[in-house]
Amino acid sequence: MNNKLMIGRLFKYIGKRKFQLIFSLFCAVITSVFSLYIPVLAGKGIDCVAFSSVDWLTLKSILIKILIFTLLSVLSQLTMNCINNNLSYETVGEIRNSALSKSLRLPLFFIDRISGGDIVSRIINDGDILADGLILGLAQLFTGIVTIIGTLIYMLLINPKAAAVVIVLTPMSMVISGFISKKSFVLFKKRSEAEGKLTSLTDESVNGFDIIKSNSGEDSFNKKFSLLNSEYADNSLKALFVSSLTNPSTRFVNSMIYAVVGIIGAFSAISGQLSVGLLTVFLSYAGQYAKPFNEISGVIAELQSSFAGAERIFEIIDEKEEIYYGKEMNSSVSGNVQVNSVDFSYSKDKKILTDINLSAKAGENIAIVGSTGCGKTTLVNLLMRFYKPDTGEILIDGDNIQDFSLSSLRHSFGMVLQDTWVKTASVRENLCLYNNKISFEEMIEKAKTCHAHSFISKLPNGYDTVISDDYGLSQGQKQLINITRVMISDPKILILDEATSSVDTRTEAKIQDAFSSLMEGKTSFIVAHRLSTIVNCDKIVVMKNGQIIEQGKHNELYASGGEYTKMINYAMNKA
Amino acid sequence: MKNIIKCCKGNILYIIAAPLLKLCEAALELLVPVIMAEIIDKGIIIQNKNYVFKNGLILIVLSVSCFVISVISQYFSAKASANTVKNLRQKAYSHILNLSHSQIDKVGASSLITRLTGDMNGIQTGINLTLRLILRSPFVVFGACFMAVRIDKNASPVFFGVLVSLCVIVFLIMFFCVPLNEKVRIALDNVLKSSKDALTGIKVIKAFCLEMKFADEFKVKNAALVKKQKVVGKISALTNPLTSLAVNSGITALIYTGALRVETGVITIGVLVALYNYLNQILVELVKLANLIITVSKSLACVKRVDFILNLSEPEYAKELPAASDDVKIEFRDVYFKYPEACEASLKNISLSLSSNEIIGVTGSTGSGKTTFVNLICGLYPVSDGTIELNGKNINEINREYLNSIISSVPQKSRLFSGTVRSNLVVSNPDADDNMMVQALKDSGCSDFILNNAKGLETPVLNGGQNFSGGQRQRLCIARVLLKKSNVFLFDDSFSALDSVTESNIRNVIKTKYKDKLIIIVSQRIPSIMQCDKILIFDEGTVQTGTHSSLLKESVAYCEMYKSQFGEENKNE
Repeated sequence: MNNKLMIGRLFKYIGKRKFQLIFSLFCAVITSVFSLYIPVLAGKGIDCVAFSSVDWLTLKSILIKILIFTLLSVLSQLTMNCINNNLSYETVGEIRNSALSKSLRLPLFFIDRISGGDIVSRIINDGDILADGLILGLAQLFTGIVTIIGTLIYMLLINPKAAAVVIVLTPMSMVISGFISKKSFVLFKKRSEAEGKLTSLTDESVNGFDIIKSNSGEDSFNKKFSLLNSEYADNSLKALFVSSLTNPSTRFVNSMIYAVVGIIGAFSAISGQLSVGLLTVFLSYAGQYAKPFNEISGVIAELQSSFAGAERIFEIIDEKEEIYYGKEMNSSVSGNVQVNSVDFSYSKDKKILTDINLSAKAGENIAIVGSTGCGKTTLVNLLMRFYKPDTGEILIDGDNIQDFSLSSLRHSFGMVLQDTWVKTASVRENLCLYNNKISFEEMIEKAKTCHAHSFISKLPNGYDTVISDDYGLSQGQKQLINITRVMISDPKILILDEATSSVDTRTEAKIQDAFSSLMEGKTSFIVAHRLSTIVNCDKIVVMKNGQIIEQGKHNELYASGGEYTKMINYAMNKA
Repeated sequence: MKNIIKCCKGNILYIIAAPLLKLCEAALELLVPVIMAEIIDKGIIIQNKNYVFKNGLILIVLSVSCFVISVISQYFSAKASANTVKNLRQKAYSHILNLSHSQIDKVGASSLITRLTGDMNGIQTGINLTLRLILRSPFVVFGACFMAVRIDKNASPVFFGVLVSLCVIVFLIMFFCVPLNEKVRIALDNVLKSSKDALTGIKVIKAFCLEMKFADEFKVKNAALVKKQKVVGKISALTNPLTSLAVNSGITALIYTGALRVETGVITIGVLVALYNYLNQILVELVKLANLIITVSKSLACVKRVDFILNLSEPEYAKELPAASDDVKIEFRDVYFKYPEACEASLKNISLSLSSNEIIGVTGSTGSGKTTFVNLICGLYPVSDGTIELNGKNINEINREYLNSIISSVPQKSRLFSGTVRSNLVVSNPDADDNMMVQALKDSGCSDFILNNAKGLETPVLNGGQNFSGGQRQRLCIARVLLKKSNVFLFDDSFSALDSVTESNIRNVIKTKYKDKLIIIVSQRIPSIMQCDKILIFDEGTVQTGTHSSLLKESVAYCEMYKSQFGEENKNE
């Protein structure tokens, strides 16, 4: 996306606040014109004092003018600052909102591709960079331009010769600062790379703390760290030093300009072309004139990086979301599921599922088994419409699931995944995420059925304890919360994807009890490697390399002596 | 703060020289208006072109020397801050490695990481800016005032007034902004947490159709952030207008009173111009000073967070070294254990004894105390009551490194470090040669994906071992532990991701090769432990000991587990 397009995008968000923006620009003009005019007035004031005879009348009126203009410029600057702040924060706030709600509506493969952590960093960090850039850009870009033009005009009016010197010399400081910022950009990038390495080593050592300690590996890790630490410090030093040269260099150019203008001005004054007061004004302009140039080059660099940030956010916002609309599913759906010759691949070069045919009558329990990577989870993901089959169709009660509205389709499913997830919120809120109409007593009842009640009641505030992913619950406990959550949502079709693998078998057996009563008359798909979970299912589907190789009841399959028999024998430890 | 000062070692020269050079630069800069005043008074008014030329050259020489001096001092301050923070970071890192398990848990991994990276950068910026401005800014401000008063005593009220009002403005803005900024940071944390929550749980959210609900919740948190940002924005928006108000009023007052004095011949116009320039200089410098104060207050917060880590006392490890012996006996006597923040004890009244030549199976439900038991054997936590003895010595009084050398454990979560298979293996035994490594890999069933791979031991391991499946990671972790020469091997649920064939192969190797050691296998799968010499079944913090057949008769908990895994009919097999 080029800068012009980006500005257009940003304007769309600012759009609603167009009048604020226009008013802020108006204030910028007033502020810069007045702040330019005040030194002129001061210079004229000093001229009134010239040669020990003071023109009091003029001086007083000039001084009063200075005070009035100061007040006006203070007011307009204050208004401008406030408007700019509000404008930037609100705009970024809105962009953040649409980025997050969009990212939740994106198809899963997008999030798989760029990872959730990266999206968070785009929303938070890049949003911050954008806000900073906008505030600075709005505040300084416009005032800077107005100031430069104004100063140029004034200087040319006062003394064209000296003005020419300033105009010729000032770009030098811009060239220098541009050169430095290019150099330091490269160095900062190197520094970030070194920082990345350092961060991942720190991450590994904190997370692998136990292993390092139990192997007394402190010394070798200290050495590794020290190496990366030195590398980082070196890069850091270079980046800091080079970037810190901007100020001294531009100051150097400015002071050279000051000296040259001073000499030329003094000669002009001697030859009577310039008054002492005007020379003073001119000198202060010479200093001031360079300042907005430096600021603008800074602002442009800042804007570049904030546009880069904005681009990363807009990438999310522009992504195509899942198709949500469709016909509503009949609430009395019975739950006949039919999978007809479905093929699927995440990327073109690797097929994950080939010619899957499967039918589940309403109320049946279907177990899906097979070794890791055989496509079990992918199949389940297709049922939930997290992904779309390449060919073939999936029908519920004879209707293609692609035709239903996403919400009515997913509402009919209850899903417990291998990865547990808890929201940063109270236990109660976590349990009632989907069904918040349930009464407290009913909720406790369900929690008891799922064997979650006993550990929840031991938490400091029981059901009101605020938990989060790193609160200190064990994997098994988090899974019990997830299971209770689905239990409370009371779905039509149940999907258990290795749901109980982090729960011990005893508790699992109890939960199975609870599930079987819940699932009475409802279809369920169970992905599991535990024998106990599988044997009692109505149908067992054995998968290998993305294909279904065997289907049937436990006894039939076990007797057939195929892949399933091998698996069971190993599991029973008879191998 | 003390910690930082300690880390300055070796950089004292830079730390002293950098601000002093800055001071020189500022002093030279202060001369500029004086020379300009001379040019006006003696050059222009007396019409002495030679004088103008001479002084003009001095101005140019001044600006060149200012440039050279400031480049050197920028280098010194960058060097000093980078080096100091490098030392500090190294110190904090080694310190973290020396802390205890529970201390790490308490602070949290992600917080430790941000403290070692982001906060360290904050400190570095703080030191760098402080060194550059600590002497310069006050010197320029007070120096300009001093020079002004020196050339015209009567100007002092104006300068004093401007100075005081600027200080008040900067102070008031700081006073309100710093705490408000902290609130903004907290609000930003909430927004971050909310979006992180939503994206890690994306599948659940989608499965439950909760997209709108989460987006709305995010909007609420985001609105709170915007609101707080706007408040701070309003206050900081005052900085520039108020300072220019103060300075411009000062200029008005200066010209007016100056005019009075010029009229009476007390001062010349050149002096008035100089005074005017000094006032402008003060303005520029104060804006810089205000920025410095904001940065320093931010980096002070970082210092606090790093100090917190460095001030955690390293646990005192006992020094006692028991007599070397290949035989190991671990004895639990009436052991109780409660986690610091838990309401109930995790282990109650545990008494048992384990020794070499035994294979021990440990099983039980989630939260029954299995993992706690393992952690206590490794000496990760002190017991709440009772004693654990290793060969007759209290385990908490035994030297830590000795304990680590005789006990090796494979933890539940398999952790690999980025590097190569070799670099991961040598972690447990730096002296291991290729033959030993290959043997360990064979024993742990890694032949198919490591040894038969062209790169072999040099097979790369990506961050966290992402390039391996869960089962492969577990096998590599087992290989790592097998390399270690220990007397006790502990497998804490470390076969969970393996298929039954691989698992039973590994168990058989261990059984035959490590017969004379004490082997402890923790598992929820009965087949993994049913052939052990002794089985410990944990249930709600208590333990029952026996063999597979005796426990089937005596332990209700064991029976239930068995049934749940094999079904009723197999019981009397």
